[in-house]
Amino acid sequence: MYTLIKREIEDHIIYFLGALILSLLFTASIAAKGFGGEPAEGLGIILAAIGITLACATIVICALGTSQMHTDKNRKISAFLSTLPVSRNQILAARVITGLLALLVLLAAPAITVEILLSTLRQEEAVYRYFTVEIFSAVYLLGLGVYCTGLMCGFSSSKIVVTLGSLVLSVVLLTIILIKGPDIETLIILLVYVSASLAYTWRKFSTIPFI
Amino acid sequence: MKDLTYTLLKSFAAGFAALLLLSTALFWGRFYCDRYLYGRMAQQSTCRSATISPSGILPAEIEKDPNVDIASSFHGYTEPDAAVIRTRLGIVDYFERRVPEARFMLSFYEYVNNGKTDLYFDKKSGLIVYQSERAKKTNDNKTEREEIKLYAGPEGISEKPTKELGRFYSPVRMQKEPIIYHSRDEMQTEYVRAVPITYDKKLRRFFKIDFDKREVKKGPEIDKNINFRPIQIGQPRKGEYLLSFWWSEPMIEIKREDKNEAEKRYGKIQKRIVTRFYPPGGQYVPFLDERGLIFLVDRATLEIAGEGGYLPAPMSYFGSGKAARPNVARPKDLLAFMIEPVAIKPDGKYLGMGAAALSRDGASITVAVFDKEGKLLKMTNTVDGYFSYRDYDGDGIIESERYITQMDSSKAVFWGQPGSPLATVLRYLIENLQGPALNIASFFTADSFEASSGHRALFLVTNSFIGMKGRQAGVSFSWKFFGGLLLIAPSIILSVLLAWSVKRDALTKGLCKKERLCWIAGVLCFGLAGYISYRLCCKQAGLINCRNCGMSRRVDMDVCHRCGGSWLVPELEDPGWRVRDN
Repeated sequence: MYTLIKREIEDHIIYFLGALILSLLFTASIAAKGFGGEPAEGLGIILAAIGITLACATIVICALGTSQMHTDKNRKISAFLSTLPVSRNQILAARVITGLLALLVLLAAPAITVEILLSTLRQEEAVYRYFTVEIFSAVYLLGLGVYCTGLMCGFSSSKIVVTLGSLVLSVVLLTIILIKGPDIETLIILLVYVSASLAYTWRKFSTIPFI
Repeated sequence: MKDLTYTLLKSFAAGFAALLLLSTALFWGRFYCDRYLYGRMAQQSTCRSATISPSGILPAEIEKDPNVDIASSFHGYTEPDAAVIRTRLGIVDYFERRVPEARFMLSFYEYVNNGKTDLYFDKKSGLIVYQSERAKKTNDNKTEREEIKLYAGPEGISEKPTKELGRFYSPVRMQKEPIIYHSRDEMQTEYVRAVPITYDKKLRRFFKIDFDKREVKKGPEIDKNINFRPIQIGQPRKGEYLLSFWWSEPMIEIKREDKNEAEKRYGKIQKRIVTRFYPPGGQYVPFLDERGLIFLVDRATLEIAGEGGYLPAPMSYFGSGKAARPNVARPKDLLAFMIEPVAIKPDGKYLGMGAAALSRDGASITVAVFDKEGKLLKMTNTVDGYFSYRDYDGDGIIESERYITQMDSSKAVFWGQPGSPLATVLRYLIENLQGPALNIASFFTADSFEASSGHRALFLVTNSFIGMKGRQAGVSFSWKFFGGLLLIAPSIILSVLLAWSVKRDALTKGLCKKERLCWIAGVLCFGLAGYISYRLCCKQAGLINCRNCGMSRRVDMDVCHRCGGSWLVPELEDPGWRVRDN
C-alpha cells in the first residue's frame, strides 16, 4: 500500500508541488497582512485569503482527481498493476489517500496561520471561538468533494467532458458554501456527497474492464 | 444479492450527486431571476415603503389640529434587492450570526453606557451574567477602565455565581429597547436605559433584573391554563437589517422672531407637539408570542396587562399562511418584523403600537396600527402605484377601501415591472426542473421552514410558487392541492417524457423488468436528476438476438427481458400440410 501511495505521489508530483507553492503563498500573505495590519483588517484579509485558497484549491485538487483516473485509462496503469498482487480496491484507496494528502498540504498551513492570527485578534475583539474549525472543515470537505468530482469525471474518454465538465461541476459544488454558509448542515451535505461520489467511483472502478 | 446491493449503492450514490449538483445549479438560476425581479421592484418607491399617516394613535384634537404641518406617521421601509442577497446567501447570514457586533447573537442583551456592556445567559449555571466596562476618572484626573461582572438568578444578584441565586431554565430573549433619543428641534441627546425584564418558560414568571440597584423582582406566577408562549421581550424584532420601521411625531410650523439668515435659508422651523417617552412602551413592555400575538406586561407589577396587537400578515402571491387568527402572521413565517410601541411624555402614557412585517418572499410590507386596547386601527401595505389605504373601525371591519393602484407589490414583483414577466416565467420553469416529488414535498412542508432558511433550501424549495400555494390559507385542501398540481404541470410533463425515454432506452440496453420499473419510478419522481443518474449508471449490456421474438436479449439472463422466453427454442409442430413440386 505504501508503495502504491508513493507511486501515486511520484506520478502526480506536479500537483503536490502546486499545492505546496500555493499553500506557502497564502500562508505568507495571510501572515504578512494579518500580523502587520490593524486587527480589524485582519478578519477581512483572512476571509479574502480563504476565498482565494478555495478557488485555487478547486483547480489543483479537481485536476489531480481527474488526472488520476484519466491517465490511468490512457496509460493502462491499473491494467499493469493488476498483473501484480494488488487488488483494485487497494489501487483506488491509494489514490484517494493521495488526494487527501494533497488537500492537507494545501490547507494545513493556511489553517494554522489563520488560527494563530485569530487567537491574537480574539484578545482585541470578540471573534467567534470555532471560526477556524468551522470554516476550514467546510473548506476541506469542499476540497474533497471537488476532488471526488474530478475522480468521477476522469472516467470519461472525452477530453472536453474531463476538463470542462469537472471544472464546471466543481465550481457549482463550491458555491454550496455561499448558499448555505459553513454551517453543520453544509458539512452534512458535503459529507454525504463525498461518500456518494466515492461509492460511485469505487463501483465504477471495480467494474470497468482494464483491457 | 451482492450484485443488487452494489447496483443500488451505485444508483443512489449517482442519484444524490446528480441531485445535489443540479439543485445547486437551479438555485443560482432562481437567485439571478430573483435579483432581476427584486432589483426592478426596488426602482418603484411605493413597493419599498408603506406609511400610515396620520398614525391614528394620538387624540383627534392633536392629529386634526389645523396648525399641524406634518401629521404623525408609522413608516416601514425595505430594500428588496439587498434583501435578496442577505436572505438567499447563507454565507452572509453565517458571518452576521458569528460576528457578535453584527447581530448580538452571542449576547443575551446588550446596551451601551459609555463603554461595553454584555448581558448573556450562562446555560451551565442558569444565571444571567452582566459584564460591563466603563471609563472611570481617578483622583489624579486620569481615565481608567473599570470592569464589573455580576450574576443574576431568580433569587437575587451577586458578584459571584452562588447557589443561593437559584437558576433560570429557559429565559426569553430580551431585545434591546431603544436607549438614545435624538431630539430634532432641541438638538440634544438623552440617554434612557430600560431595566431588563425577562420571562422564564419553566418558572412561568416575569423577572425584572436591575443591575444598578442589584435587585431582582419576581412577578406573579402565570396561570397554567393560559395559553402563552413568549419568544421575545423588550422590543421584539427580526431581520432588522431588512426592515426599518419608525414612528414620527406630529410637527407644527413655528415662527421665530429671532430667525437668523441661515434659518431663513433653510426654510421653516418645525416643532414637535408631543414628546415621545422612553423606553417606548412607557409603563408597558411588549412581548411576542410564537403565534404572532403581542402582549403587554406592566413594568411595575410584572403582570400581563392584556393584548397589545399582533404581527400583521403581509400580502403574498397566494394569500397568507396558517395563523392563530386571520391577518395574524407567525414570526417564523416572516422575513422581518418590528414593533414600535408609543408612549408620550410627561408621564409615559401608553397610546398604542405599530407593527410592520416583511413577507416571506420579501416583496411586501404590511404596517398595522393598534390602539392602547390592542384593537386594529389602520393597516396598509406596499403597492405598485401611488397610494393604497385601508381603514378599519374599532371592531376591525373595513370602513372604506380605496385602491388607486395597479396591483399589490407581492404580485407586482412578478408581473408589474418591465421585463418582470419574462424573469418570472424563467424562474417558474427553473423551479419545475426540480422534479415532481421534491415539488410536492415543498408543497407539504411549505409552512415548516423558517422564512429566510426557506430561501437557502436546495432540495425543498418552500419559497417557490408551489410552496406559496402550499401556504395559501382560506381554501379547501383539495382545491389547493389541485392548484398545486397544475402549477407543477411542466415538471410532471417533463418527467413523463423522460420516463418514456428511459423505458425505451432500458429495453434497448437490456434492463430487466424490475430494474426498468425502478428507473422509471425514479425518473418520474426526480425528473431531470433521475434521468442524469440513469445515464450515469446504466450501461449497455451484451445482447444477442432472441430466438423467440427476434429482438435483442441479454446473454446473462435466463429469460428474454422482452418476451420472457427461455433459451430453449419451442418445438415446432407439424402444420399438417406440405408444399410439393408437381
